[in-house]
Amino acid sequence: MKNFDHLLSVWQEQPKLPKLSVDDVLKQVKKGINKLGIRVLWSIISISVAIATTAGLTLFAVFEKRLSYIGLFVLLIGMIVYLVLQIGDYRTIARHDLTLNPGAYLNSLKEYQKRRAYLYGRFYYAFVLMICVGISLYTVEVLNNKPFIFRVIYYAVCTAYILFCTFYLKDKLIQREEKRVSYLIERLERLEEQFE
Amino acid sequence: MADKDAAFRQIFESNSKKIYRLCYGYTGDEDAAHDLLQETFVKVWQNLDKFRNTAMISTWIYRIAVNTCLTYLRSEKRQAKEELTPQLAETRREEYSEKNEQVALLYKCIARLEESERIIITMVLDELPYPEIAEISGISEGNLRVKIHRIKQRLTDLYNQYEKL
Repeated sequence: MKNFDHLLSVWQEQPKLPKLSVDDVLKQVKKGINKLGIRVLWSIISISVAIATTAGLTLFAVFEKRLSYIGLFVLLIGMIVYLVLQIGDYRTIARHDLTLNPGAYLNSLKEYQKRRAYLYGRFYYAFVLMICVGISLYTVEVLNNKPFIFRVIYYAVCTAYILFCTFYLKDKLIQREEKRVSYLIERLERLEEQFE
Repeated sequence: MADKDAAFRQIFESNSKKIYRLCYGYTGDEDAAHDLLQETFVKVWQNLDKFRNTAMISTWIYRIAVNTCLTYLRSEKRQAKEELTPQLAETRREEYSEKNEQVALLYKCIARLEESERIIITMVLDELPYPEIAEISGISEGNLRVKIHRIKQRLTDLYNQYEKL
């Protein structure tokens, strides 16, 4: 028959030690939730490259028809507005450090969620419309000398890509991001409640 | 920031072992205990600025760990611990030396206790002062003494019962 003191000695002499080091934990807390920010940052970089290329084309390429320039301008306007919105989103999410101020970060996250809903909602259709108009006007002259079949294939591919983005890719991206943001909000809210 | 890092390191070094045991006693699963330990200390980091020294830091961390363990068990609807532990004990039998067998048996007995009892007894075993246990568990000190007495008795009975098998 063992008494409680025996259990106490078993407990206190147990070799059970956590395998987790303080550096692992620090790395984890500092990693924060950068993934969202990194994704937005990549979008900013991609759209910036596209803007630079289009601007270069507008400035240095010589076109005979005004329509080509108008097309490029429409493309540029669409892309610049998109860039401005993306920068706004990035600033919203990078404004507060989760590891230092979870409450403020939570509010930023909610604001970010609203901004993204706008970006993927009403703005998306305006953006697609501008891109379609821009490409159509630009390609009138550029594809003028190309064989008919080439033009048909070009427009078919463009249309298919836009339809694919609108009805498949966009929804997938929204779902994935929404799931992640909602999960983060839920976790942070739970954490907040715990410390009230 | 560097000060916060240093403070956190010190807090981690002096509390992680006890918190790990608490989490392990709660879940009976090493991986889950590591996850909970990590989650607890992530919360500690995030809320370090809110800590106002009105309580002992260890009490504060224990409370975070207890909440984290409870959330883990309740919201995730985990499999009942009683069903898990014998399996785990069985599959890991070879790993245990005689001393470790005793530890495994002790954890198995802790697993048979109720949720609130598990948390209290791990703190008792870690020799936390009674006022601190009372604060963490939210039970008055008078009631706690009675409760601890009963839990100790039950745990000892369970241990002796299992040891005979």
